[in-house]
Amino acid sequence: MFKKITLATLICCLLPLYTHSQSTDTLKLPEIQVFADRFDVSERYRPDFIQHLFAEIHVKGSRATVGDLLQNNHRFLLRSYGPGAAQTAGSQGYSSSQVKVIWNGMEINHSMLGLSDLSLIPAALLSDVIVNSTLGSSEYGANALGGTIILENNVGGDDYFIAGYQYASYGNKSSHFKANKKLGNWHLNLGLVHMNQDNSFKFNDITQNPATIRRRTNAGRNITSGSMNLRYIASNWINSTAFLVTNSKAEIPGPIVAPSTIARQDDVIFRINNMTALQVSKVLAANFRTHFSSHQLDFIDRNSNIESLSQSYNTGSEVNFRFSKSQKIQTRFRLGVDYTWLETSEYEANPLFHSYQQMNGLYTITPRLRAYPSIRYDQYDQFENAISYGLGLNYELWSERLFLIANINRNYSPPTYNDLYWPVLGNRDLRPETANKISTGFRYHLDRFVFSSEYFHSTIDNGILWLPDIRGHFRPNNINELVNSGVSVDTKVGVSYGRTNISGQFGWTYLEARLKDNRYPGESNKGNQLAYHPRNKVTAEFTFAYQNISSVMNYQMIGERYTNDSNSIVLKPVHLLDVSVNYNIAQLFGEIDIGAAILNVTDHDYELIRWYPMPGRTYQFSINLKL
Amino acid sequence: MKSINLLLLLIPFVFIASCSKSPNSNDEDSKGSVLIFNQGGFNKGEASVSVYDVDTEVVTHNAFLTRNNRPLGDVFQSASEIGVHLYLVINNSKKIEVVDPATLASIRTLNLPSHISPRYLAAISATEGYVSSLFTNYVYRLNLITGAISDSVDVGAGSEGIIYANNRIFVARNLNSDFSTAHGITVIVANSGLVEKTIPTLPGPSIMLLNNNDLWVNATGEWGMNNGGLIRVNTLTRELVENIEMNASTNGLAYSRVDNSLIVLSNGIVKYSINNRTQNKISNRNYYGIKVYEKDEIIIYAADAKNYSDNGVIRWINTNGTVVDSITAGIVPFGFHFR
Repeated sequence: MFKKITLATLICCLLPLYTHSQSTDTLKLPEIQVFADRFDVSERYRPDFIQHLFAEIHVKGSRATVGDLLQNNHRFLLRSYGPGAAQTAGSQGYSSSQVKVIWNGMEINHSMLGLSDLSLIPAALLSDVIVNSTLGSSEYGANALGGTIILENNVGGDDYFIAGYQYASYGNKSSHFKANKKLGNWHLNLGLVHMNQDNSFKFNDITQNPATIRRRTNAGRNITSGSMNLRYIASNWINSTAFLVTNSKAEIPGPIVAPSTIARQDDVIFRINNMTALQVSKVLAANFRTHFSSHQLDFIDRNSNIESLSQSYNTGSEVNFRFSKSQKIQTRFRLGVDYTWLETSEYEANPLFHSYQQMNGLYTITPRLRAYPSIRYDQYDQFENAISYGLGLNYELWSERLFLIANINRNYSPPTYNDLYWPVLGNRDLRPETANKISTGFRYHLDRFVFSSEYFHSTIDNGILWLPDIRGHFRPNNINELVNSGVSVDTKVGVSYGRTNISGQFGWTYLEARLKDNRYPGESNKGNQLAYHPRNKVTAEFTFAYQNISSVMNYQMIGERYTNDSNSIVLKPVHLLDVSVNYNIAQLFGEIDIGAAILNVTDHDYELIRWYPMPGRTYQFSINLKL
Repeated sequence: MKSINLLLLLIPFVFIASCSKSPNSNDEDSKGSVLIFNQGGFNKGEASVSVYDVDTEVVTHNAFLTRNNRPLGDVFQSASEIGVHLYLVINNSKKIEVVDPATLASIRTLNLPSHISPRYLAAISATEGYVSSLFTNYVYRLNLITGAISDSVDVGAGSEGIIYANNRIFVARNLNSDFSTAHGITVIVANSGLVEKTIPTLPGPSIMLLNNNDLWVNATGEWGMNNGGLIRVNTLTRELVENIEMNASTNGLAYSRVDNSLIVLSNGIVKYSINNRTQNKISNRNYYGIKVYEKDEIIIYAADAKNYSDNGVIRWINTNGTVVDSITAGIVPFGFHFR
């Protein structure tokens, strides 16, 4: 085992040294031209509705996690067990194991669970978070059934050094620093975040009569996460090596109907990724990527006699080619292999070998019509192979203004290790889950005003669901069939007047996520709304900046949700209002930024998951120094 | 205005009249009601009590919540009738709710230490009892008024069923600390708390019921081994009478006094005649809990937990296996109390 890890790490570390020994020309290429795994095209002409969630304007500031960013996005639904606890995200009726999370080109969904805990990724370490619920597996591969969350911590831009400290209610402290430095052709980006959270917030304990105000206990978390991205940029090639290391120790408070006093979860994550991108000729760009990751996840609850220890590993390589006669006609090819293995106290599992081939095209059929066909084939050594394909269209109805967008694609998500290997109950005969999606809509641009609307419809077949057999033993089977449809609307507007900048955005998703059929004898849930998927989610943001003062106001509404598929238990709607104010002081040596925020201004009593209370009104103060 | 005043005047009289017994009414005619116990999902706080009024055929869900304005808790495991009260063991909330069975009004709550995983309760007096615990090797002696633990007795495995008979506590050893299936019934002298002996049994003894001096226990069997069955112990001699292998796992047990038989959940419903020692399959459908109602005829109340996350179903089944009727229950129904 140690040999495998060492070998993978060595490959990742030595590759940049090899490639850096070549050309030293300092002429830089825009990334979009040299990175062969994406098309050289403006976002306006894309066939999807991607969104950028910029961490720097989040009211939570440096203690925001990727989950916190997604909570403010109406297309995604965050499932959170409270501050400091796990955060997972579903989208458009899809579960969190059907949403793919990609960090710098590599998938980071946990191989045992199939999902990614977004609370383990501080947003401050990232330069961009891109969400895409339109394109699927033929663009992003396995698990991209319901959407994709792309995390990037790129380098570039001006040199800077930022150090900050933040204090918030309930004993929450956070410190961070980020640095960006260019030395000749070398670019270095470093980041470190440390959060120390008590999360001892007050909540209304309705398990008592009369309900009493109590404080959450055993809910603390210590998380330290660091990242590094070292990039060498030459005239016609780029080499980039990125690390992400996280150490988290979290207490697990449990639901308030069964609070835990000693349960805890420890995570240690190590990820490394190396990518070399080369502009071979005017027509051909290529890149080669290799990665390695390990995730140690230990859950310990002495009261329930549970000590679940696991260490999962993944390594792989892929090569991308992009042929582009011009921006109008581009074809991409992707070939890759992936190897995953696992050591766990729960069961023994065979390593999983996976290879894939993919082709994506961008063809300008008429000056206004762009077509994006795609196809991908995945081979697994332990279950059925999967084919996915798609066709996207972008029609420029009004030059530079109005774009009609349509998409159809078939996607898949493989079974997880737990599905396959759980002792006695795992099912080795499982097939990948599949989904057929269509979406259509438009996007209108006018200077700083953007309005878009999308209708989406999808069916999920072979969905994996754990159900009791005749003896009452839960086993996974490919029996879940769902129909999801809905509408998403986005508006962004910005105006400037002198030194005053005002911007706002509004988003709304209406979702009907229904069970297509009954799944076991005697079930009568056909047509019911899926548990924990609200019909309505609304987000709004208003930003105001005048000279060196800026303010952000966030609002979100999550409609009522059912906690089970029989729709017999309802969680009341959530209304959250957050406000922050920042004051920037320019000094000779740099800038000092002082901020204050109030989260959940109305002190709304709410839960995202039943019996897991969320904090009421929270005060937060921060200071950042930028050199 | 006059009509309003007249109406107001009449209301108290109407109320008084409705509270008084009709001269023709007869309590003997009332078939009473049934409390349906719903376990709920783990960590979901769905434990509840449904009430089925046999006369009106109306089911009222969440009766404990409605009566006490607070949820029952997480994972309702068992209920014991002690004196005039019902003791509801709420496993994952680590507590025992004491209620009036007639109204479900909370009398008191016995909060247990967090390391105890309470499963079943057996009283040895009006003020003392023993509670079993699945994830520790002990059973705990507790004060039924205060909930204070006064003693713990090492039985060598996690325990399920527990019962008091002839000054002894009988404990079903069900689960070893490595999650393998345990064997044996440990006998404890109730007053002293000393372990007298452990009776060897089929693997996985679980639910217990007492019929005169016979203790009947279902054995779940080992995981995936189909080696469960029934265990019979004489509580006077504290000796094993017999292990009855059923070549299947079992997960429930009830007794029919009318024809002296056991109703066993074992890949369906099996009727075991104690007199004839024969097994007769009544139903192939799997259930999560059963109880026998024997007022006018033998009716088996069978709890179908369905997928363990949606509302379950209660079916009334006669001894021929015919489903007479059914009603919707709460989430994961498992037990009944006739009142």
